[in-house]
Amino acid sequence: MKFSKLKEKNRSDTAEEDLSSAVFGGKKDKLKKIAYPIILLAAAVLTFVIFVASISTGLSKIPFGTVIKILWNEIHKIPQTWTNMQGLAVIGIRLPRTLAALLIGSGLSLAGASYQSLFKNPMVSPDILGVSSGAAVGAAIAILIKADIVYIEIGAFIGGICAVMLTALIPKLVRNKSIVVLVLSGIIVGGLTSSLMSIIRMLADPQTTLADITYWTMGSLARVKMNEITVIGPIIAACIVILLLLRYRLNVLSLGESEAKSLGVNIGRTRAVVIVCSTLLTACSVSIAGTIGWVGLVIPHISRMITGPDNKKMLPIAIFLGGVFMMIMDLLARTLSVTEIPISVLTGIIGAPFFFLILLKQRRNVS
Amino acid sequence: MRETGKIKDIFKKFVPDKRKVASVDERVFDENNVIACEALSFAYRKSGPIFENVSFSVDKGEILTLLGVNGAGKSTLLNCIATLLTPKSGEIFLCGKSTKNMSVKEVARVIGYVPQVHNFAYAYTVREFVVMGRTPYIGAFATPRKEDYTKAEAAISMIGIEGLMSKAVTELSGGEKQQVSIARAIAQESTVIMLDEPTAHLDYGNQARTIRLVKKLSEDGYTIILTTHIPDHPIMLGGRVAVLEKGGTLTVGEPETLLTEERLSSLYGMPIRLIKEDSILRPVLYYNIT
Repeated sequence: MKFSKLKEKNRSDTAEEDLSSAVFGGKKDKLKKIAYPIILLAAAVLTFVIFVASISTGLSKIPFGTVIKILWNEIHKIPQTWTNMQGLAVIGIRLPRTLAALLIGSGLSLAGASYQSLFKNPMVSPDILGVSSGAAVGAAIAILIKADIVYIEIGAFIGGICAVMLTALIPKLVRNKSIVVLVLSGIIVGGLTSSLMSIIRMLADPQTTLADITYWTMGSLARVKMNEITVIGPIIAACIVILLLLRYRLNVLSLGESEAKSLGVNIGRTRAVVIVCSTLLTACSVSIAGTIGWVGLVIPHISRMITGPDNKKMLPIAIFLGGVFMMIMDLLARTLSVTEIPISVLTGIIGAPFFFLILLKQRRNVS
Repeated sequence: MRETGKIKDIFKKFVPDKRKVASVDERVFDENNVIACEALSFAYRKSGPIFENVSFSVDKGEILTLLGVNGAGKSTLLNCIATLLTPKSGEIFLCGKSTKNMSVKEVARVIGYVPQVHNFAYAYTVREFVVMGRTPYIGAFATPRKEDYTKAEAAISMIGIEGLMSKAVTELSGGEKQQVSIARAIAQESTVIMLDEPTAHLDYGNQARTIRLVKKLSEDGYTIILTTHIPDHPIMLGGRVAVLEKGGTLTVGEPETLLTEERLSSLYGMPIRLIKEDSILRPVLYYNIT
C-alpha cells in the first residue's frame, strides 16, 4: 500500500477524533491558549490578595488599605496614616512570617514538582523521598551545637542531599525502578532518619535545645525572623529561577532516563542541577520552619489538574499555589485557636484527605 | 521469485556492490557509512558475553534488521549503538565520527530512537510529546519555538495521525503509541531511526501497519535499524539482515542468502520451511505445530 493510502487509513481510523477535533478541538485549543495567561494572572492576583489578607489578619485586625500603605512605605516613604503599633505588627511580626510562608510554600511545591519529573514518578515529594527528614537531621545537629542560621541551612542541605542520594540508590541496588520501590526507599530512609532524630533528641539538653528541636520538628513559622529570611530568600529565589529555566528539560526528563538521553539531554548534569536546587529549596524550608509535609505532593497534583502536565505551564502555577496554600495554613495555624497549632499538623489534616480525593480522581493515571 | 528481484533492486539502490556481505570477519567500512561498529563486545556483570567482536556498518538510506531469538541481546546491541549503554570494548562511528568524541546532543541529531515500550507517567498531549523530538536543537534553558511546533505537527501529519494531536499519550492504544513515537523520531530530523522491537505488544493489524510505516520511512530516505525476533520482518522489509545468535556472534547479509531454512531452523530450534510461490510476493515461513 502506498504511503498516501496508509495515511488515509490512519486518518479513517481516527475519524472520530478528527470530527471532534474539527468541532471542538480548534476552539478548545484557542481557549487553552487564552486561558493560560488568565490562569497565571489569577494565580498571581490570588497570591497577592492572600499575602495582604494574611498580614491584615491577627489578634488586631489591620485594614487591607493600611497594610498596603505600610508595605509601600518600606519601599517609598509616604505620610504616616497608621499607628506605630500597626506599623510594628505588620513589619516586625506579620511580614517576616507571611514572607516565610510564601517562600517555603512556593519552594516546597516547586521542589515536589521537580522531583516528580526527575524520578518520572507523580507519587514522590520532598517528604516521601526522605529529603525533608534528612534535612531535619542535618539541621537538628546544627541546632544541637547551637549553630547560627547559616550553619543550620548548610546542615539541612547536607542532610537532604545524603537522604535523596540514598533513596535514589536503593532502587538501583535492587534493580527495580518502579514507583513502589522508590516510595519504599523513601520509607526506608525516613525510618533511618527518624532513628537518628531520636538519638539527637536523647543527646539534646532537656532544659534548652530539646524543646527547640521538638517544637521545630513539628513545623512552625512562629519564630521566623527577618534576618533568617534574608539568608534563605535569595537562595530560594535563585533555585526557583534555575528550575523555571529548566522547565522544558524537566518535561523531557519525565519520560525516563534512556529516552531523555536519546533525545540529547545530558542526564548527569541536568539531574545534578535539579537535585541540588530541589534539595536546597527543601533545606531552606526545613532550616527555618522544620518539617512541613504534603505541600510538595498535593500542590503539584492540583496544578497539573489545572494546566496539564507540561512543566512550562505547570511550574509557575505550582509556585503561586504553593505560596497561597502555605500562607492559608499559617493563617489558620495562628488564628484557629488561642494557642498556635503546629503548621505541619494542619498541612497533614488538610493535605491527606485532599490527596485521597486527587488519587480517586486520577486513579487511572496512577495505576 | 519476483520478490527476490525486488529486494535486489532495493539493495542495489542503497548498497554498493563491493559489499555484498559484511560480517564479523568480512567487514567493509567506507565513507558511505552512517553507522560503523568496530569489534564491539558487551557483557553484563555476573553473566557471560552478550555479543563479542561484532563489526558491521550501515549506509545512508539502508534498512538493517537485527534478528535474533528472545534474550539474544538485540536490544543491548541497539542500545550500545544509540550510546544508551557503553560497550565493554570496541568503537562506534556515527557519520564517520567516533561516539567517544560526540556529545549526547550530537548523537541525538544522528539517531532517533523509538523504544520498545512506553510507560508514560504524565498525560502529555501527542503534540507536546512529539515536540520533545526537537530537544537536540533546543538549548538547556530554552523552550520549543514556534518552528519546533510546526515541525512536530508536520511529523504528526506525515504519519497521518492529526486526529490524535490533542489526545493524551496515556490514552493511546499500543499501535498509536508506536506511531506517535515514530512521529517524534521524524521530528528529531535524525539521519537514522532505530526501532527496538517495534511490533512487540501490538496486535496483528498494528504489526502490519507498523512494518508498512517502517518500509515507507526507508523509501523516504531514512536509514533504519530495527530489532525483531520475527524472521518475516527482514524478508518483508528487504535491505539487509543481521542475525545475532545466543553465543554472541553476528552474521550480516541479504535476507535471501542468509535466511535459509537450515539457519532459521537452527536459530529457533525447530524445523522451519520457506515456501516460495509466484502468487505470493515473498517467501512465507511455515512450521509444523503437530
